[in-house]
Amino acid sequence: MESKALLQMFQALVSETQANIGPSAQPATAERHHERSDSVPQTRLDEEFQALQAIAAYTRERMLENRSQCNQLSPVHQLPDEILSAIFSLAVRDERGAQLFYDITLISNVCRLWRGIISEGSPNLWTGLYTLPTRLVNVFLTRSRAAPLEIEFDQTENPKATCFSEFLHLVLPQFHCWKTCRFVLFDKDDITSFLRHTATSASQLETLDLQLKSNAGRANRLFVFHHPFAGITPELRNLTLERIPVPLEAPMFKGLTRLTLRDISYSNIDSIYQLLRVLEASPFLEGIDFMNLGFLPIPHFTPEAHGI
Amino acid sequence: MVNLVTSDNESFTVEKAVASRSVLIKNMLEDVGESDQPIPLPNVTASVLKKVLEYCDHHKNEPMPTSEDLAAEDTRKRTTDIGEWDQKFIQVDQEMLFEIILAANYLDIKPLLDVGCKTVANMIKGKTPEEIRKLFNIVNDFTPEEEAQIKKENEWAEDR
Repeated sequence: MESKALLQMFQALVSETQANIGPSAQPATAERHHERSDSVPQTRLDEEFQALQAIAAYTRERMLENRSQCNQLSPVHQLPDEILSAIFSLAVRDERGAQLFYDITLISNVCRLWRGIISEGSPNLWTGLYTLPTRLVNVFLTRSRAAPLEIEFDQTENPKATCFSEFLHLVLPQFHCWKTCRFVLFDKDDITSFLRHTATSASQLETLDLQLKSNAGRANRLFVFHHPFAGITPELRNLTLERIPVPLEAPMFKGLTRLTLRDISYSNIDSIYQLLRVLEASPFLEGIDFMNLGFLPIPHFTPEAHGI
Repeated sequence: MVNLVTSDNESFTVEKAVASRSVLIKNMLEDVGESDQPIPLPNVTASVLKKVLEYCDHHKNEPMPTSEDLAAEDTRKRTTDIGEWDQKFIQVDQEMLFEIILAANYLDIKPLLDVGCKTVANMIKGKTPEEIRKLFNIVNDFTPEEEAQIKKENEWAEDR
């Protein structure tokens, strides 16, 4: 190190130290270390201690700055942040392309620059809220910013997961950003609670998958009387309902490319005709999966009478 | 044929089909029409352009990715699989790898950019932060407060 640099560093050290201990401070000398402690006034010892603390703090801070500057020179940091962000996005996926939160944390632990890119500059890494513990939901929501969200809560994969109502409470304010919604639940009250909150449009929702699973002898019958999302789901293409009898005249059944209905008994006498109208209203359907659907007996089938 | 001039003033004469793998060059050629004028590439050195042109030559007969292809390529579902030839092609030292990525980005050669990014992603995958630091010559520059927050986040991640 050149003497000029050393001098500048020392000057900075002195000013930093003085700023921390006030104008009355006197620099400690080596000789003072040999003085008997009972001959040194307490105030001077306190000042020395403060000075040493300030020196240590300054040194720590300067060391970190020095390390960050060294990192800037690493060849990998020639790459602009958006390319590094794209690389990280690829590195945190498994062989099926699913995002792994554990890997996100590993990468964000490498250095401050990477942590900054992941936390602040990669909203797409934070859009998959898959049965997250509540303490993580807010981290994901903050870092995903306004990016479209994939919301999932599956009690069959992790029955001990966070309470659904707490999860729902945290994610509902971002409802306008939901791109995918997949809830697989055991309790019909949870589904009812969710549907009760769907009185507004879901403008970005592309996939809706609601499954009510059979739960240890409980009847789990559910009645849905209203049209979810105020009937406004312009982007909805992929719809799955299991044990959830959303009325088939609901506008959400229009314009679909994939429709799955399982284990549903429709109590409306017109439901079978409504189902045919649903198929008619989605001319680009690529996949249909109907299983165990129940309808009331058809008295007499006349398609014209039902507008088909 | 197209004449390309690198930042270190070296000329490369290549087939139009090869040069046009770069969207930047393709657009330039379309804008200026038939011309013998060399195309300057101030952000690419000769050694890097040579590698880039090797890639473009190998892939010159493949269809160019359309905007629909790019839109359909959902980044969320992308994996890091790389074709056999591309894997061998990209076996270069780190410095050259990053130069190729930068050149692909500048020249707008999306498939080459993908190969480069996937290669770096595969280098990162499965490694601990310390191993990644060693690989890329990075040092730990976190403050004690940041270290504490990291520790907390690690616990959350392990809980999942």
